Amino acid sequence: MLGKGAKRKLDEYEDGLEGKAARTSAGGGPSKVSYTLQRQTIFNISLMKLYNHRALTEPSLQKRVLINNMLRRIQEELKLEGSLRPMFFAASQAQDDHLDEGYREAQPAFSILSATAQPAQPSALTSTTPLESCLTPASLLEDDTSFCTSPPSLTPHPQHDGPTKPPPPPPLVAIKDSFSSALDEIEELSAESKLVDSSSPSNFEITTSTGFLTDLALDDILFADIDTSMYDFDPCTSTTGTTSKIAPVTADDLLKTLSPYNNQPVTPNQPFKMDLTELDHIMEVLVGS
Amino acid sequence: ADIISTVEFNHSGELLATGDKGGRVVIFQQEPENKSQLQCRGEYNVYSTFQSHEPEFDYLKSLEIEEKINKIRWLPQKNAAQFLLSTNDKTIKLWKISERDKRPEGYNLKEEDGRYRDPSTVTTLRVPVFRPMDLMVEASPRRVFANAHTYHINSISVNSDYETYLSADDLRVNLWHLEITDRSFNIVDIKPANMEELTEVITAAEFHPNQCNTFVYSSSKGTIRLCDMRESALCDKHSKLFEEPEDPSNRSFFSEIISSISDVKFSHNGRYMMTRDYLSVKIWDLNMESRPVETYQVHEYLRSKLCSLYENDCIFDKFECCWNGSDSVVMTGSYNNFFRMFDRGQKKDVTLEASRESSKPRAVLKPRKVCAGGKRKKDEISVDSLDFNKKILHTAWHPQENIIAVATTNNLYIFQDKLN
Repeated sequence: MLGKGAKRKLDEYEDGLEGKAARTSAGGGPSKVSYTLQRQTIFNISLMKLYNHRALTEPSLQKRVLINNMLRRIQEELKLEGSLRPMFFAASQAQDDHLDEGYREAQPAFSILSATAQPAQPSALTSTTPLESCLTPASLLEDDTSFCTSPPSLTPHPQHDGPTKPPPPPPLVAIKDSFSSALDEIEELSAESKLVDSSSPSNFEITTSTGFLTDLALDDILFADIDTSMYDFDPCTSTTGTTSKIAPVTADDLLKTLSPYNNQPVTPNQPFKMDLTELDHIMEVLVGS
Repeated sequence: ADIISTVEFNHSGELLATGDKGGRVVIFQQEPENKSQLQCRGEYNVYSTFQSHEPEFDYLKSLEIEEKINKIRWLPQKNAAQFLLSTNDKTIKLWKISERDKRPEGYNLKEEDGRYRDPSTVTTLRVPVFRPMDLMVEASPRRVFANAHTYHINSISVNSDYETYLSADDLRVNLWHLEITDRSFNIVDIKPANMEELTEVITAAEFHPNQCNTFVYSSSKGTIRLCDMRESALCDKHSKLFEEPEDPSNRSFFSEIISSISDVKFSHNGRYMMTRDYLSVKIWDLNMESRPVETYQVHEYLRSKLCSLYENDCIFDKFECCWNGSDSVVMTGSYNNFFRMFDRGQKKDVTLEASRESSKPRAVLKPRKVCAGGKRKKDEISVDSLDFNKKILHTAWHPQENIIAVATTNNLYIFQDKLN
């Protein structure tokens, strides 16, 4: 159900982003974008699946494990790329195998190029990859659009065994129809804030689109107990899916829960204040006020 | 609540059991063959219906326990009664299904309605006799095997010793004795000490059809482990590991997910086993662990749609598979109410559809074809027109004859091959 009515942006998406690497069209550029775009989309979908579920029954462990593995893999790839500072559009070599392990081995080549090409890259990066396009729903990335006949049935915050607390509605709680537009707005906001702060290393990473979640230790979220006192999960009153009863959460509360996970050094005060107003706006958008 | 969640023939094929999402079990019985109508085998009619499981509530986790029947397995028949095991996510039950077609009449001290007669009116001695009555089929729970699984039970399998059976959940496999309900032995445990390190779960398990010490379990990473219970009490160390190396040309983000095995079934002769992953069916020779001996593509045209199928969760659908009685043909389901049969000997395969429109009684099913791309021929269906809500997850094959049971979401179809 995502992306109904959204326009396709670029023709290169028509190529299909899956399957053989042999389908790379005009050189390495477009296929690299496709790969990172697809990876980003899958990352977002996976996060949604794990966090956005109001289940009356216990969710499937197999599904959660598979989605978690997917997220871990993507995260490791991103970490690897982040540590070697690859400039995606600089190199034209080793494009064919971008879908398999060969891709990772090509990284060192990139970093050499990046040292020389660095100043020019950030702008190239941010201008040719509009961040909101990273959230193109899966259905637009493939030829067919008739698929997603029902919204993804989503799995919740995994609780494995032992005494557990009710899973909290996450910061990214989705209300189905407005979800893609809400995400678009969030991405614009985070994109703007990151562009302003040019000293932040995260400018170079595609993952700025999931701003505040980038450096989170994923396992901490997925498997640790989080203070859920401000979220009331009452299985008896919550309906199946759509209308979410969210306790009103202030931006401060949100920051409180996020700060333990934010390892990224934050230059004090100035960007922080910007984040607060951003978060206010985000909450407004999500709650649909 | 009428969504069929499991289908299983008994050992003679005379009975067919289905379980549904509402916890009910419906058993069909094949009518005795009509001698005058040589063309037809007996039809299946409803024999018994009972409520096997009820929804429960786990107060500790504040979550419901679904009453959906995940699996039914028949016990071999030892006397007049039939026995089957049915399980939901947490509890396994042994049901006895028995017939009653006679009842005692003519008690000495009681009236027919049960009231005691006035002793002064009893002047003669009368012994009750059994007289025929309308057939009544009764189902009664004989054993309840509970509280042994922290995670969701995905498989049960009766051992060839007919005394024990196994039950498997996401992380553990337990061994039970059919007579003992308050104890089970844990024979496989893959739970890591730190749950954050969990990357693989058990997806299915089955006992070998004639070696009572051997069983297999499959995983979400596409591996199958064969274990010998004689080696040690805890079978964490496998005897054999079946795994096919990944094809690098088919690598994608979804490689792991589509390699997850949804069903594993031994062949009747016990020499092979079949596994079902998202896109294919694989036949393994138990003596060769390195790769399957046969691979059949069920719906390869979905490979380019994996991202959408991931988004709408279809990629997690668990398709089952089954062998025919002679192990020469295997069958599995797909989308759009299609199901596929692969003839191992003749290297032929066919796609058929289970739907009201396409199956009039006694009509021969028309083979279907899905057009993957390019020009669609007449009578072909394009991939984009497939209905992914119409999935056939459960199929069963009569143990001796060519009669198959195919479950769509709400309906059960029974097909037989054309007799000439």
